[in-house]
Amino acid sequence: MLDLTKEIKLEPHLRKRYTVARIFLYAVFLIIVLLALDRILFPSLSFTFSFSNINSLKNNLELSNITAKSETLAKGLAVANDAITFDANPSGTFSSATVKFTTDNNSKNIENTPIRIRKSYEAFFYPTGAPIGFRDGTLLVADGVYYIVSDGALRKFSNIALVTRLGYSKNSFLQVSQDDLKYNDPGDDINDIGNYPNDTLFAIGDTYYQLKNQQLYPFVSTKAFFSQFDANQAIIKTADFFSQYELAETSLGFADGTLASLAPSVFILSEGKSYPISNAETFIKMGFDWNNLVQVDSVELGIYEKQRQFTYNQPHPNGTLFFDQRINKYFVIKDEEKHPIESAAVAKTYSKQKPVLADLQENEVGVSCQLKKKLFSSYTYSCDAPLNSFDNFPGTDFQIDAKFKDGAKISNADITFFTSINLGNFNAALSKIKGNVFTNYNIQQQP
Amino acid sequence: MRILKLPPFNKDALLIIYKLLYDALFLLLISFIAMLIAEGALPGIVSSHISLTRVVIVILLVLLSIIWIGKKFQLTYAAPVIKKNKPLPVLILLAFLLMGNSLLKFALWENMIITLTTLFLFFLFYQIIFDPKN
Repeated sequence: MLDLTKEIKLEPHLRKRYTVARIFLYAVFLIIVLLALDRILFPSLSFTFSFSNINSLKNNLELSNITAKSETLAKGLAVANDAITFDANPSGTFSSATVKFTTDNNSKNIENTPIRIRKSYEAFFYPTGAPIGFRDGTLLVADGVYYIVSDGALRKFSNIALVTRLGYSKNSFLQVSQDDLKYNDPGDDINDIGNYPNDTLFAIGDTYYQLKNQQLYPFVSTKAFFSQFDANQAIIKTADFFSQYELAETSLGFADGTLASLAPSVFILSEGKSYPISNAETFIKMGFDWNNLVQVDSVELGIYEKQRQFTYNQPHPNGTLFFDQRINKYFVIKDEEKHPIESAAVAKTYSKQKPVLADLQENEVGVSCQLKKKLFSSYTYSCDAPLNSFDNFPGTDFQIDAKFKDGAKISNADITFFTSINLGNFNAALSKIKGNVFTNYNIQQQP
Repeated sequence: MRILKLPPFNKDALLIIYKLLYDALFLLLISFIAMLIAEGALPGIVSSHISLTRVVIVILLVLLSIIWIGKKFQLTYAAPVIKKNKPLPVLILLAFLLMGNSLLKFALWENMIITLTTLFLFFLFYQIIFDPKN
């Protein structure tokens, strides 16, 4: 063994003690090195929210439930039995989490408050909204009566002759039942032969158009049109049709929620905005499938307003389609609600989009723990919850609910996720380091 | 180095601790160098999980302990004679690589000029500080 203090000679009995102590020192050092590696490769991830400074940039725990946005809760005042909900988006699989609440001096005791943690996609945690109906522009026939979905409403053609005279092909109408029609509000009947209803689709030359407010909006490409409709849904017209309706300056794009690829980037397209997906890890974590990418060109992408990078900390944007295999039901994300598709006929019109797989039942499965007062701290309460049961659950979002029976005055909420030591996480850590090396040294990664 | 006068209390234990502190210092310095190299190659890989300041504080505490016990034993050392030895070229190469790595955003020729100039300045400082005439 390397002796750094050769000049200091020890008596034989001391030399033995020194050797033992030295072995102990090296063993302790080895343990510290292993602990340091554990911290680097399997890090614990901490999230915090300070009620005393709700706009702090350090707040990476998201206060998410609607009631939490009320003024009282924003100040940390939890009303008795009012649920307070946080969202955290850690990356990895975790063995456990520690939830910690710090109260103000004048707060009620929150010991034994139950904490529930659930895992899914943040958007899939949205409250369930009203069932969604057919898309605007869809042509439907039920019991021999013809309809078009226009401005969200179901408008009936007053007679069959009108359908033919307006140029619609009867074959292009989707056969549905009366039951399928109840998910769109009823609108006015169509009687006017001189005017087409809003959202009617036309094909003029090689371009598809949709009528909106007496203007013809061109689809940016046939691909964009086919992401929502079939070719037979459009009425074929000639160029002189522009004398009846003026051409709009803006173009229509792809179905909301479409995944578009323009090498080397991938975007989510939604409501006129394009969200560049930050990296492959985010793409996979958000449940997307590489096979669902639509190749677009710069013109097609150019009609969208580019947004900041989309990371797995953000919820899926409007238009994203989820599918629950267990109950065989689709859900569409719209305005912070998930709208179920109750009818098979409606679902069929969304079948051009590939859904993100999720599970409503797993959404409700949670792990619980009860807050206990921490030692040597009068105002801090914490509890530990095992998270192993979530390993195979889809989603990146952990939602933490707390319901304070007698109310509370919270000053701080913290949650720490502890990473499991397993091969998957080890590979993920190495992959992350490799990615950082490639980014740092500007090396192009091979797909 | 010679032992002039031993303190009256538990000198055996202190002697062992003194030798162990040297071992600890050696391990800490090796770890610290490894951390600096890793940090230089990939900024944040260590410092985002382990506080380098704390490591430096621990190294300083070990050094102070060595000095304190050394004084107890009244250990004296001859001034170090730094001369060219085998590890020197390796250390210079390592310094060159770390400096070059930290200047990756510069063009290659700028990087080379700055790194070589810095090393040359260090060499001059070394000459001035360790000049036997001083």
